[in-house]
Amino acid sequence: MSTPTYLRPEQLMRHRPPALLLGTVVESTATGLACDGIDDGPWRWARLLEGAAQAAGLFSGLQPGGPSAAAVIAEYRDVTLHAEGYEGGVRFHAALDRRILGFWRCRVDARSADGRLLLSGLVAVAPGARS
Amino acid sequence: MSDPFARIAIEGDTGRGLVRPELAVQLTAGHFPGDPFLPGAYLVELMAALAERVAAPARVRSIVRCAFARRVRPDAEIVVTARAAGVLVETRLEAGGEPAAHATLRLA
Repeated sequence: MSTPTYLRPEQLMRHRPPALLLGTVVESTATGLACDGIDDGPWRWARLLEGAAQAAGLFSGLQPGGPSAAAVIAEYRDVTLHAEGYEGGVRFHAALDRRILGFWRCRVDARSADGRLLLSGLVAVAPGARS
Repeated sequence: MSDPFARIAIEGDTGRGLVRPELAVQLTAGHFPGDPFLPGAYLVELMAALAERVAAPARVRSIVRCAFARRVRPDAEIVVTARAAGVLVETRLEAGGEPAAHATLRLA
């Protein structure tokens, strides 16, 4: 495990508050990324999903040959809402599921501070050339 | 999210909703400066809001699949349609008259 204090989402991503939902990167490896949410919520399920998507985008962008900061979300699949919302600290995880042509499909989840699963599913990140 | 629709029509197991323009602008804040478009997760949320109106009192439990065809700018007229079929609701979102996203949602 590595704790990459040099990875700062606000410097790596195009998102700006209030859209930026990632705070501190707590783990980054070749196979996955974990990142704390930027605040204590409230986290409605759509905000959790957006945070998970940002984790997938950040993870993909850090990989060799990964998409640029202009990447966009192409698809959500098999996303389960384990909670309708949550108030408190959350942690997002993203890991590579598979690469499909230029797309990076990631398995993502969001968990509460005590490890309870709030949301899980698959996010496909596209290079971002679409208008 | 407060009621996202400026106008809504529900007929049987189908529905159509026009998204409030000011909400679309609000949802693009910080996404992105100089190149605003709505985050995909919030497009799903708009589709889920209509799905829950069509299939009330059921709530969205999972996103079976949601695919995005184009970016949705906040100044475009955003229209959501939904059709319930059992526990699934098929939804579509158009922006400026063009298909932008479609989703299959599971409700319970």
